[in-house]
Amino acid sequence: MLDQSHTITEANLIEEFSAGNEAALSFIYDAYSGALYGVLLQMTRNSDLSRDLLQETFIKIWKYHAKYDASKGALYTWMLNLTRNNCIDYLRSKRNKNQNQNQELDNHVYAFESDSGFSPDHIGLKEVVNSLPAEQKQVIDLAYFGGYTQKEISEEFDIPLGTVKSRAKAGMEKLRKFFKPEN
Amino acid sequence: MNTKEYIESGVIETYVLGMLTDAEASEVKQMAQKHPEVQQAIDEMRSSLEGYATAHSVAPKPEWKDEILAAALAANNSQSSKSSPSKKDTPNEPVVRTMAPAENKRSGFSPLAIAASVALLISLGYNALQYQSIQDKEEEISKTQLRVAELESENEVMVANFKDAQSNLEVLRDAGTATFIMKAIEGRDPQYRADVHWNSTSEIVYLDVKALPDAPEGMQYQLWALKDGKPIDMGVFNADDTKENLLAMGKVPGADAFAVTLEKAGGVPSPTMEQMYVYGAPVAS
Repeated sequence: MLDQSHTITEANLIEEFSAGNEAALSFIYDAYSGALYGVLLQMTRNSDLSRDLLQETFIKIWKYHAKYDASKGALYTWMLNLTRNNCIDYLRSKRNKNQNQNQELDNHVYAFESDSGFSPDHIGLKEVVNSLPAEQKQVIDLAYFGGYTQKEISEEFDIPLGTVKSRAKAGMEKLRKFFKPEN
Repeated sequence: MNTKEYIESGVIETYVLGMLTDAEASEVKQMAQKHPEVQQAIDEMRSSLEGYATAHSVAPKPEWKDEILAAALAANNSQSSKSSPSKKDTPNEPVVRTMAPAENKRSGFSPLAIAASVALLISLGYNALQYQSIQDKEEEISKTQLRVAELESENEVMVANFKDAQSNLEVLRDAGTATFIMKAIEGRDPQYRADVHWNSTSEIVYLDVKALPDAPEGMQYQLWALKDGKPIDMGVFNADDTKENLLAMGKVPGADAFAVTLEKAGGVPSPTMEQMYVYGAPVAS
């Protein structure tokens, strides 16, 4: 029952969004800006910069609204990837000032199929974090919020590559258990 | 590597976390296209990760909404990145894959209806997550309780073993304990050996079989104390009875020697001399 209402409502919203309905953008902002801003804060550790990047992200969301394809992934996934890729581009260009790394959004944005739609923004962070050992959280955060590859984490933080991998695996397993979908 | 091994290898986790190089990532994508199970594993993990991202939500300042939405609309109406009020130019516009044309059919629903639905969904989703979280906790508690019970029974066994070991040690360390080493008699395998520790205070005889063959079906070994040339029955045992601990046998006020014979199960009143295996006088101290 949950799943059905879920799909229908999201489908309607997406239809309106794809058609360029400005009201739909407003809803999307209300529903997702908290999550996207939270991710940006984690990534940049800077609220002014996060606010600017949030605006950039919404400019892109609106720019590409007609290109969003619901069959390729959930809207939230699409927006999260857009947000993260835009921010990672920015962070990387700062990190390697002379080396302009332009990651193609193309595949990354649609990299993940999804069946999840609206995500509530009330899940207790503390509970999640408590379920995650610090060294596993570090690897997940460096990768997901820091945009580091496993090789970079291994080199910059002096953790053997195998350990980086096993921590990522163990940490994701904890998250999977925590957010296990109902069935 | 089969699909199951591939999924369990940890590569999916690193892929979803964006930790792979482009080449490595495209390999995973190919696997996902070929194998629906891989795609499903990716979806599940991605969904957990999105949950994790969502858990970090922070509400933006309310006044930003109008500014940001106005900027988004303005930037796209003028089709010029210059008009973006953002402090820096958007770096390298992303290349977006061409999609099937979106349907432009408008459905006449009111903004209020969407708002209500969104609110309801958020609340339902939240409840579902809370419910799941409670169920997980309950499962965790029952698992923990089971483990505690297991540990308790393990502990009882350990305590019992420890007490046995402690009492064995007391016997061996007691100044009144004499040790008899019984060795194979002539004609038997010279490896055979069994020791007896006899405590002069308690008069109890403790047996420690070092090496004796398993007794044949229907037979048992019998221990004898020899005093002034007469055998005294100290009880029957099997070859492996003292594997864990010393075995307390009969009581005897004193003995010149000890011997073991193989007899019919349950023992006999007097030893069958041809069936003697080991024999020993006290070790001189």
